[in-house]
Amino acid sequence: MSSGELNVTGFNYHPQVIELFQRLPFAGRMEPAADVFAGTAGGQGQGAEVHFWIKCSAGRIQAISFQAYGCPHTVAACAWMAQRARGLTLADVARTAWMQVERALAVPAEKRGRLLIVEDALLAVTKVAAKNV
Amino acid sequence: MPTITPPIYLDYAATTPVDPRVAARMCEMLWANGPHGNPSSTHDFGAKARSVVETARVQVANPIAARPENIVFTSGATESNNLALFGAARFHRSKGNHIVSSRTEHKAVLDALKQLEREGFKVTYLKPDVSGIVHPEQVIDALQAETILVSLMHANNEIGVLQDIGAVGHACRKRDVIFHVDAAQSYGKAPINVEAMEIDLLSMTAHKIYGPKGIGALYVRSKPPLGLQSIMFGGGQERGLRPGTLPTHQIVGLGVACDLVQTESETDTARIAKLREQLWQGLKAIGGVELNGHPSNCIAGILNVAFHGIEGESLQFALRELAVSSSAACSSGSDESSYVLRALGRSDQLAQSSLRFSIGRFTTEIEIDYALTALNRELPRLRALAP
Repeated sequence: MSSGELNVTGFNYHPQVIELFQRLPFAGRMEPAADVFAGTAGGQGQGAEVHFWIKCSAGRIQAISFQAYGCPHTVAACAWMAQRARGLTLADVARTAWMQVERALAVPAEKRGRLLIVEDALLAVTKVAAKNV
Repeated sequence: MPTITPPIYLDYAATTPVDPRVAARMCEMLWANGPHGNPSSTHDFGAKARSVVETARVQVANPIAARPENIVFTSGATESNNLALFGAARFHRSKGNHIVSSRTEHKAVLDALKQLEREGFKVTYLKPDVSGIVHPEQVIDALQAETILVSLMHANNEIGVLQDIGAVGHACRKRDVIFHVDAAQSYGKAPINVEAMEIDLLSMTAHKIYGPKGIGALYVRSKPPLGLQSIMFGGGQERGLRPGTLPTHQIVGLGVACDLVQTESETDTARIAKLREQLWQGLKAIGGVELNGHPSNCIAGILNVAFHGIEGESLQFALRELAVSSSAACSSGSDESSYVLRALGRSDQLAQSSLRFSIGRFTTEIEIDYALTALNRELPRLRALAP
């Protein structure tokens, strides 16, 4: 376990996971609007369910938010991806891969399935937005 | 105003801190001028050690109305359970090969039973009702001509539910079936009378009653003699049932802990029950919670709660200033949900989103208030996050 990491539930939590889980940046739903799009993946029965909303203008993400049911790594991954996606083009966001968040947040290998759900939800929302803008 | 330093310990069902009065007496045993002799030795040092060991035997026997000579010292409840199950099953194998138990027993019983199954015994695992109770009629219905042993825990370690041990004991004695009770969670916390409840074997441990870890006892009925095969071999101590030099300081610690539960049980239980109620009412006020277990037929210190709409790991992580047990904690390292809660019919998801709060002698009202403040802050925050 490296400095600043916590082990509470049998998993190690990177300091950034702790910070994002605590602060929850970009958490919440977005009100429906013509330029607001939603994408979801997973399910509570699978241990993780993620919803992303993005507000787009000229193919670029103006605002993003998420809701998540999942472990601290899942929640932090959503916040990390949202933080990274804001201001990018849909094409750039569509290239975001789960490996990037795995590296950045030192997510344990056992949690890869949950990162894939986060990635799927983000890809789903970019697809819906790309079709409609 | 006393200050609170988190984490708050609410895991007394896992283990209890040693009562300072127990620790003080144990230390006396370890001093050079204390009774450091081998209790089996015939000289004066041995006699002194033997004397404190025999005093402890009386102290262990008293809270369960047992005769001191029926108490066998072991390393704890796991060993007691193993000695009871293997000892009784193997000794009585010629009479039959069927054992009755329940799905919600502790692993120390379930894993021993699995081994007995590998040795050719057949085990019926009774399913409790939704509140965790195994009804005596279920036990009676499961008894067969080949049944030699029934093993049932008194209080469940995860949900605290108490079984009707007296009724089961009576049914077993009537049919000449040996009855073993795992009382690791109930000894000193719920009334037990081995004679009146017709219990043949009873396991207990010190570290659940403010005694040291590494010491426990098995009550073994002697009238009429039970028949128990040893699982360890050596110097013949403890009537040959548990050979090995007796750990005087551990045994004395166990004895003092038993003495204290007997004299303080009533006040402890009333105070603990009040704190448990304070916590439960506070949780109900937050909402989205469900009790795992029985609302009244349980020991005072355990409150197991399912939290709707919150993922289990996040729940535990968010509440890390509270030292509580998640349902998966009993099989540490595994993220499998609790087999006890699943046996009660809880879904995997709800079982994983359940926490066991366990309260004890040193828990204060201020600590419960602190816990409720943390729960009031974190539960709505996590619920708002979920889709």
